[in-house]
Amino acid sequence: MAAWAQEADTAKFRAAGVCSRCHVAQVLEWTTSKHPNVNVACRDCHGASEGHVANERNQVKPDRLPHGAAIAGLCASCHTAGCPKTKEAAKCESCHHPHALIHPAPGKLTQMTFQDDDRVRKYDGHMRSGEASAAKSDWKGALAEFEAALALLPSNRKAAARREMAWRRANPDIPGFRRLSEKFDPGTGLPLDVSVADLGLRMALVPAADLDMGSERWRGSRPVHTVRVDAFYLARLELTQLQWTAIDGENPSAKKDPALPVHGVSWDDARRWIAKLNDKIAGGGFRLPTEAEWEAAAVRGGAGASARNTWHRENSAAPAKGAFREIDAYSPHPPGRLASDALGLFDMLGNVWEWCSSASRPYPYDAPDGREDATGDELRVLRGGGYADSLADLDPRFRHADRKDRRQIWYGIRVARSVPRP
Amino acid sequence: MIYRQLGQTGLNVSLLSFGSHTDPGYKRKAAQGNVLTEEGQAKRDRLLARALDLGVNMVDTYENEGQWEPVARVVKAKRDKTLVSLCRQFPMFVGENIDRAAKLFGHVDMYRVYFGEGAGFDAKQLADWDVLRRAKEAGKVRAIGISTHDERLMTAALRDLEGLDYVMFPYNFIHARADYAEFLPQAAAKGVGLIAIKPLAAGSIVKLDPRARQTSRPERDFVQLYQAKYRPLLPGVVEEITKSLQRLPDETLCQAALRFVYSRKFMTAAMPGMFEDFTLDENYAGMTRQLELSADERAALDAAAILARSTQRDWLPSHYRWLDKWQG
Repeated sequence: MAAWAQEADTAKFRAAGVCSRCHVAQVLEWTTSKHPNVNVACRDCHGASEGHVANERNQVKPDRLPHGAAIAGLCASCHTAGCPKTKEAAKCESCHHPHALIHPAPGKLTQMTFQDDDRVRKYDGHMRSGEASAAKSDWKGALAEFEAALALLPSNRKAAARREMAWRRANPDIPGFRRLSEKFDPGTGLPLDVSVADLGLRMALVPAADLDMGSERWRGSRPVHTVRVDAFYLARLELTQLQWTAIDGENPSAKKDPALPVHGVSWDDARRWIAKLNDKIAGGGFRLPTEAEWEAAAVRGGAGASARNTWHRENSAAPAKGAFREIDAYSPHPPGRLASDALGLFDMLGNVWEWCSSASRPYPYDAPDGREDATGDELRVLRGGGYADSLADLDPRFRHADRKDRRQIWYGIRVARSVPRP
Repeated sequence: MIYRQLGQTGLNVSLLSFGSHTDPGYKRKAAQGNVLTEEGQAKRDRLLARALDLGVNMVDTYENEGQWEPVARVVKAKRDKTLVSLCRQFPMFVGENIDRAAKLFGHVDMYRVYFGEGAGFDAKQLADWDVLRRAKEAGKVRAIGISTHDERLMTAALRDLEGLDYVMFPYNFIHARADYAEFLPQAAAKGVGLIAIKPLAAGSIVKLDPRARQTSRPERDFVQLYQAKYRPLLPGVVEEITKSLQRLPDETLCQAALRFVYSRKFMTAAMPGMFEDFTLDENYAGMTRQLELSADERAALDAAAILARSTQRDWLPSHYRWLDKWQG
C-alpha cells in the first residue's frame, strides 16, 4: 500500500460511513484528497444509495455511477471555473483520479490541492471562524460565519449542519418544551433533557446516527442493514395513566393505577391521543416513533442491561410442575422503577409493548416506501417486549406487529417528538 | 404413509396422526382433569413408538402433571422426523408453557390453544393468541393454531387471528355438518391447515358396526345400537349397513369412516385417539388402499349416519354428546 494511503486520516475514513465497509480502496483514495475537508463525501457523487447499502448480495447498484461527462458535471457543481491549471471543464477524469484527485503520471503521485480555488479557501476561513465563535459560546457570531460558508458552497452538508447547530444555540427555547438542564448536544445544539410543559412528560434527545438495524437472530428482523436516523426526542418513560387521562379522560387500562403505564391501547387510540396532545401543546410535532427510531434509541442507550434483570426475573420464575398460572398473574410496573439506560430512557425492554408508527413490512427498512403512511390496514409495529414475555426474548431488535385497532392488555405507548427545524 | 403439507407452513404431516388422549380404562384423577396411570402411560408409550415406526410423524399431547416427559422420551430418537403438537388444555399462561416445552422437546413444532364455544374472542383469548404469535416470531414454535368445537369460532379465527396456521376441529362423516359451508371455503382461500379431531366420534363409530364384536375389543359390547331398542325402528337402515359391509369383507366401518376424512384433499390429517394396537393397525390399514370411497363404502357410511342420528345422542358416550351438535 502506498505511503499516502497508510497515512490516511482514520477520522476521515470513518466519515465515509457505511461505504468504507466494502469500498476500502476507494475510500482510502478519497481520504487523501481534500474532499473530506470540505465534507464532499461518497453520497455527494453517488447519491444516498440506500438500496445498494441494504443489499448484501450487491444486486442493487448505487443511485449514481457517473462516467465521462457526468463526472465533469459533478466536479463543476463546485469547481465552476474548471481546472485551475488547464481551465479544462469537460474531462476532469482524464487527468485526475476520480477518488484521490492525484496526478496520474508516473513519478508525479502528488496530491492535488485547492489552493488556487479562492472560493474553497474562503469557505475554510468562515468555517474556522465559526468554530472559534462557537468555542466562545458566541452563537450569533458562529451562525453568521457558518451562513457565510454555506453561501459559498450551498450544498455543503457540514456547513449546513453547523449553521443549524449555531441557530439552535442562539435560539435555545423550543415551543412546548421546558429545558431541565443547560446541557446541549454538541452536534445539533439541541437541549438534551426537556419536559413537555404542564404534562410532566420528560423527554431525552436521541442524537442522529447510522443504525445497523435488524438482527440475524430473529426471522422477522433480517437482513441487518444500515439506516440513517435523524435526531429526535423520545419520552424517558412509557406514558402513564395519569398522563393519558390528563389529555383524554377515558383510561383504557385493565389495571387502573395512575402510576402504571397506560395499557390496553390500540395504535388508533395512541394516534388519537397524540393528536389531542398536539392540539394542546405549542409547536406540536408529537408522534409515535418510527421503528427505526425506536431501535436506534434502544440500541444506542444499551437498553436492557438493567431492565432485563430484577423485576422481570422475579416475575418470570417458572411455576412448579402442574401448577398452572394464568395471564392475570402478570401485570405492568410503574415506569422508571428500574435503572435508566445511557440515554436516560427507562423500561425500553419489558413492562408494556410500545407502538411504533411504522407499518409492518419486510426489511430493509425504507421510510419513503410508504410504511410510514398512516393510512391503510397494514399491521403496525410494536417494540420492546411486555411484562409477560420471557426474559430471553427481550431484545431491542425483535419486531412484533398487530392490527391498528387491537387493544392487547400489554400494549402501551412512548411518545416521540420531531426536532424542530430552523 | 401419506403426508400432506400443513397449510403454508412447509411442515409435512402424516395423514394419520397420533392423538394421545387419556384412555378411560387407565385414568386417575389429577388436580385438573385426568392423567394416565403408570400402566396406561407405559402402554401408550409403546403404542406411540409403534406409530412412529409406521410413519406417523405428528403426535399431539398436552401437559398435565408431567405427562410430557414420557412423550419426549419416546420421540427423542426420531425428534428430527417427528412433529410435536402441544396445546394449552387448562387455563395457564401460554408463554410459560411454550418455554417449558421448548426445554423438554428441544423445540415446539406445533402449538394450539383450545377455545371452547362462542361467537368471537375475548380479550384474554386474544392475549393468548398474541403470545403464541410472538413465540412463532421468536422461532420457538413453527406453526400455531387453535382447536375448537364451534364453527363460529373457527370462522372468527380466520378473520381475527393473525398468523393462523391450522385449525383442529371435529370432523367425521356424521358430524361434517354440510361440510362446514362457511368455514371450509374461507380456510382454503387463506391456506390454513385443517386437522380432523374426533374422526371416529370419540370411538363411538365402532358401535355402528354390526361386526364390531369380532374386530374390536372382545370384552366390551360395542354393538348396543343393534339391540332391540333401535333395531325395530330402522330395520332398513340396519340392513343396509350390514349388506354394505358384507360387500367390504376386508374393511371395518371405522376404516371407511377414516377414509372419509383421508379422501378429503383439503384435510391435512386425521387425528384419532389411539390406545390399542388394533386401533392403530386398523387406522393405518385404512390408508393403504385407494383413498376415494367406493359406492359400497359411501352407502355404508350414509346408512350409519342415519342410524346414529336416529338415536339422538345415545350412541355417544355422555361426555362426548356435544359432538351431536354438529349434525347437519
